Amino acid sequence: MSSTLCCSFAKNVTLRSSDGQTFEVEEAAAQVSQTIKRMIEDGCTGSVIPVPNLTGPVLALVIEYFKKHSPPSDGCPTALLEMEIKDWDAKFVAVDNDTLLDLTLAAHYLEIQGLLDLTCHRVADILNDNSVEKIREIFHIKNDFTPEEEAEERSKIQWAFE
Amino acid sequence: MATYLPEEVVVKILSRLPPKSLIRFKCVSKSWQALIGNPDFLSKNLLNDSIITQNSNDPLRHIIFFALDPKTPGKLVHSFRSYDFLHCAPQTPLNLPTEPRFDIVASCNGLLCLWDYARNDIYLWNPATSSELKALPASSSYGRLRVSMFHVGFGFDSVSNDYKVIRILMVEDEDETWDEVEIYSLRCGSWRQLDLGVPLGIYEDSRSAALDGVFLWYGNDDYEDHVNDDDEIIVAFDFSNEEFRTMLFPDAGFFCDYGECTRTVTGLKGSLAMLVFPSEDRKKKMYLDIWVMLEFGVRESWTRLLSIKLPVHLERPLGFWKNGELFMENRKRQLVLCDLLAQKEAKLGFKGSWETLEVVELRLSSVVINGGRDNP
Repeated sequence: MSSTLCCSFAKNVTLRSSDGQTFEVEEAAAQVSQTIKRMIEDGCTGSVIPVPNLTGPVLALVIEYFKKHSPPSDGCPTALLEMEIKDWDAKFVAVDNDTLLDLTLAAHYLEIQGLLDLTCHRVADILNDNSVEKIREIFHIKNDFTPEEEAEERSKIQWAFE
Repeated sequence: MATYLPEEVVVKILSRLPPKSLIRFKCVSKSWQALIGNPDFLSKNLLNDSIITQNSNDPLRHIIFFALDPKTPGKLVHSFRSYDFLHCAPQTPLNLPTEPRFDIVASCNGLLCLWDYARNDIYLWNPATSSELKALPASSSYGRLRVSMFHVGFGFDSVSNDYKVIRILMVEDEDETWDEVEIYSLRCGSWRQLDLGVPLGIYEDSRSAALDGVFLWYGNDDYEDHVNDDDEIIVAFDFSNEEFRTMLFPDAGFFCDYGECTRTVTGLKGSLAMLVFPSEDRKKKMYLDIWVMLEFGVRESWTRLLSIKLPVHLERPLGFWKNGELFMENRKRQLVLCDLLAQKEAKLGFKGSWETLEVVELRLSSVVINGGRDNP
């Protein structure tokens, strides 16, 4: 009976993070994620949708992104709106490195193409300006070269360090 | 929280980096080293993609083929095609004097510069707006002195937002000869002299290339005594600061075993690339080598991407396409597009006289060319 009314109201879904926090969000907005979209189409909407790869704070950020990027209810996005979203995006990824990588990973798991492009671009910009040492630090990568191996590798491509 | 990114995502990030950064980041770890790969043109890896692959999808981007018409000797013909599809287009004559000896100097954004070096006339042409070609005004400041032109370059000055032509002249009076450098500004519509010494070493028949606000000349090494010459150079003219600078070629030792070969420079995704290929005598050298200067102006960054056996019917490389495919002139003077690694080739329906085929890229624009004079 209630199903006949569904179209006239914005329908909500509940998302639950890995640490048990729950968030309510409009179904249309959550479908910015291809992963969630598939789950909704498969009929998971009745209950809570688990998002086991994301902690509460990260999921909260992703939901902000959902809200900003949910398709406008009345027709096409205008050029002005697109510009506003672009500005918003730039601010959205101006966060500390760990948060940025968390968002990148979230975009990957939840298949949010726009967010993945945005975060990868931002990470690449950060990498481009940083030293090899700093990159190991940002990515938490262990240097598995011996000092001799690394020195040899570097000497071959000295020009790329200048 | 320490985030571990899956390789798939790391690849997505690294694929946005320029070659120089990728090469540097091979020192991060062994897994990054393996992921980034070696610049060899042969394998599918991040570094090769970064150097070679061009995702175009730009409907304004075009390619023009030029050649002297084999049927009407001395007539320059062209065929205008979209960069992405190279759809067949007819071979059309240009409204230029017949029996010319033409050099396609360079293209820059939407403009082309052509040089009739028999008549010392230089043409700027926007193929998007006009089929009429008009020669630039001749300089008159030399009075009765004998003037010959021996180098012409063309490029865009991004600082003053102007297209410029440079020409290097040799001026003679009864007793002596000297060089003059002149520059033509499209905005001003006139020539002016530059108080610059012409660097030594530009060979008389130098092949040249245009690259992002810079024009380059060098000598080809048809002269035998240049084969082992350590001092071979590239001369670059920067259109923004209007200065020459010189750069060294890869260590001449690399070319010791090349024997008789021709070198030509071209652009590859914004980098300077050098193609080394056999001259007429193919007994010594049968390989086409592709070199790229990964960091502009840094000699150590010259990297040999590929050395590949050239099928005998393919003679002259003319430039790159999307994924490193090469435009080449074959033995029948036809233009072909070759994927050398897959050993595939396709004819492009364009034919010319011997060694006159040229391939030029441009991006359609509405720049208007004023100040030309009518053809005689």
